[in-house]
Amino acid sequence: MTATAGTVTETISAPLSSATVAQLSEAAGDTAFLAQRRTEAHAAFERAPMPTRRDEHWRFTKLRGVELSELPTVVAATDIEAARERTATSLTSAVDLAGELLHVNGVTVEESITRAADLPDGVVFSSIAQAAHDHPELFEAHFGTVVPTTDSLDDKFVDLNTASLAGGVFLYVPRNTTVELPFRADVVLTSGGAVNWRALIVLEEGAQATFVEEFLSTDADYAGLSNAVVELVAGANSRLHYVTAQDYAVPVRHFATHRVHAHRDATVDWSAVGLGASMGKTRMETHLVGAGSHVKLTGLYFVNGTQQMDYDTYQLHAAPNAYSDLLFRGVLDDKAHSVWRGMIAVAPGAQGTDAFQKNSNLILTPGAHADSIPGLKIEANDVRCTHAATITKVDPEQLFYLQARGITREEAVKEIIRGFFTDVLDRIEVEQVRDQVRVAIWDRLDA
Amino acid sequence: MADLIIKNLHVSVEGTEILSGIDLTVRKGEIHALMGPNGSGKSTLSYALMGHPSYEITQGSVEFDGQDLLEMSVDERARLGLFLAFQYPQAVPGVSVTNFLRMAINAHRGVRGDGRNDDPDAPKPIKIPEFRKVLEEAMELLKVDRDLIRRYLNDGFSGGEKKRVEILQMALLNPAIAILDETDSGLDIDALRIVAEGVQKLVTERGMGALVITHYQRILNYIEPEFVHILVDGKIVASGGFDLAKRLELEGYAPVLESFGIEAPARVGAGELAGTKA
Repeated sequence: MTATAGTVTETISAPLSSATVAQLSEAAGDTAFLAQRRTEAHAAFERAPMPTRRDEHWRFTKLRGVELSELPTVVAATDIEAARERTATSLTSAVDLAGELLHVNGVTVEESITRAADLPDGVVFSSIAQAAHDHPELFEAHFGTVVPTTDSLDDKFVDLNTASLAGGVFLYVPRNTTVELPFRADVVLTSGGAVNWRALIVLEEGAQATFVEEFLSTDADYAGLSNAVVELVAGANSRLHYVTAQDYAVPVRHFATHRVHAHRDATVDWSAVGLGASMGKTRMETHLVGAGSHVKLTGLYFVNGTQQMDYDTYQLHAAPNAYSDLLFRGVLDDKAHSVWRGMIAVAPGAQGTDAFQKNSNLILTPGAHADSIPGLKIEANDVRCTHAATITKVDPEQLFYLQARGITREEAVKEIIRGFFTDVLDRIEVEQVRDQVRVAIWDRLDA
Repeated sequence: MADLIIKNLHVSVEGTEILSGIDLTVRKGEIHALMGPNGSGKSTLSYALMGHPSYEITQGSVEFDGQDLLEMSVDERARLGLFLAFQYPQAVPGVSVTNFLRMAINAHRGVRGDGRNDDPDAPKPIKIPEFRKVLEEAMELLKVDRDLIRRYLNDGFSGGEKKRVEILQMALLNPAIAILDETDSGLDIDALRIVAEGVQKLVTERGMGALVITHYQRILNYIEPEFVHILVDGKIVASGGFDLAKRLELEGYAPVLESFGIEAPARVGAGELAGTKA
């Protein structure tokens, strides 16, 4: 075991096996803790069945052609300059930052990490490998606690992520510490690569911070695979802003699990933007584990061609008097398909729960299709839960009205789409990100 | 001359004929009132002229500014100077009144998209200070509340607010001919006066032609039409000067129609036909 973290510089093109796991563990300079987690995850990965369309949460997911047994164990960071150039035009590029990190394929580029000179004492912003070495107590206390390794088929991709780990971000904000500017991570897929991304964000009691991540690819024609796991810990009375944007090239297939634990009186404002990838299977889970916690989750997707966006959202009220509010809105063009499956679960004893979920879809063409499946599972009696799902076409009366003012049909449709997205954009609390996402979507409309 | 010349216009909705041969010419600077009981086809005429896809023209012609109006798309009609003040303006959530107004003005200028264009001769979008100035003037004229234009277009507006914003759009877009479809309904008496004076001003100062469609006579106390037409069962059955509207007010529809040798339709009660009912 080396004393410092190693950066994985070589691709291990053989698929995951006990031998490649050992090889990767060595190359990554794993601490004992990480080596053990990696081995456990690999074993769980081998035991967990591959999901199929007969499985409840994978009913709509196009898994054909996703051959995990052929996936390289890890792909090194290649074409770093191209990756860096790509990030210059990302949705969140112009944001003033407290820290920045570039992750290419499976590996975090250590030299890319920057930190503002005036970061408060105790704030850690580093690669996962470095954090495991430099801050073992902090790291080991949280890694795998929000998204643990299990044998469940639903966690097959999580286990793969942990077993293949060679990078990612660790952000730690100590007690009662506020960092005003956002931290950002760019996760880039380059030609011939595969992305394995992990984030562990920990806000201690009373801390405040913003984390923005964006998934991008350099090659518009490359159909790579991406697998992400994001663990968010919002400590008691903390305030976390989290933005995750997925703007991969269309052929990419993306799997992700994002989960937050909101502790007592924590406030989490979470926004997800989905624009790219041919298929995105994304779990977004809010676990309100502390009384009085407050989580707002906003989702926005805009897809065309034959893209498929598949969101599985879960609002678990495990503690009393917590509030969760989810709004997902999507626009679908051409033959695009979206799936939104939302579940609000209220545990026994979670009295005073206040939970909302709403999904609205605007369908631009007869060939586009949205499945919208809200669900409630309530085991407490003093709760308020509401859910709604709508799928609408462009309203011909709105079109007529706008055209009657001289606006062409094409421009009128765009204006109606802009109007449809305005509500969700207004919910993004990180102002710079909100403005940039707005501009990016308006540009896409004009493209 | 940007005249609107309607000849023998027949219009059907879902296969049922609603208008059965309308002849009407509205010239710039003229005010016409089109009156008639509910169900006579007044709104059908306004929608058909603007080009709503549900209204099928089965016969006749409409010429506007020397061109065949019926061959044009809805937005082309608008850009050529035809304006419809809607009876029931459509809400468009997420689109602010201000942005919408600027977009509509730019569309009338022939600006494409966001106006970013390499061609130096391409139409330019209205500059923000100029837009602000014309908007302020129109808002002042029509006593439109500042908060209203920051809100989403017609979204949650009261009936009166919607109507004012319709006339605000008219003032900013400067049409050659405006059709006001029951603009008076939903307005209280003060709002009605302000809106009517605004319309009158556009006619007097800018030479706009107006076709004022109304069920009641009361708006005509503020806008004095030179020509009054009575529409019954999809046909203009009588035309005259402003005195015709006055007679309708005093006598009601049935006696006036009788004096033209027309029997009032049996399905319409006397109360329905009383011009003064408000």
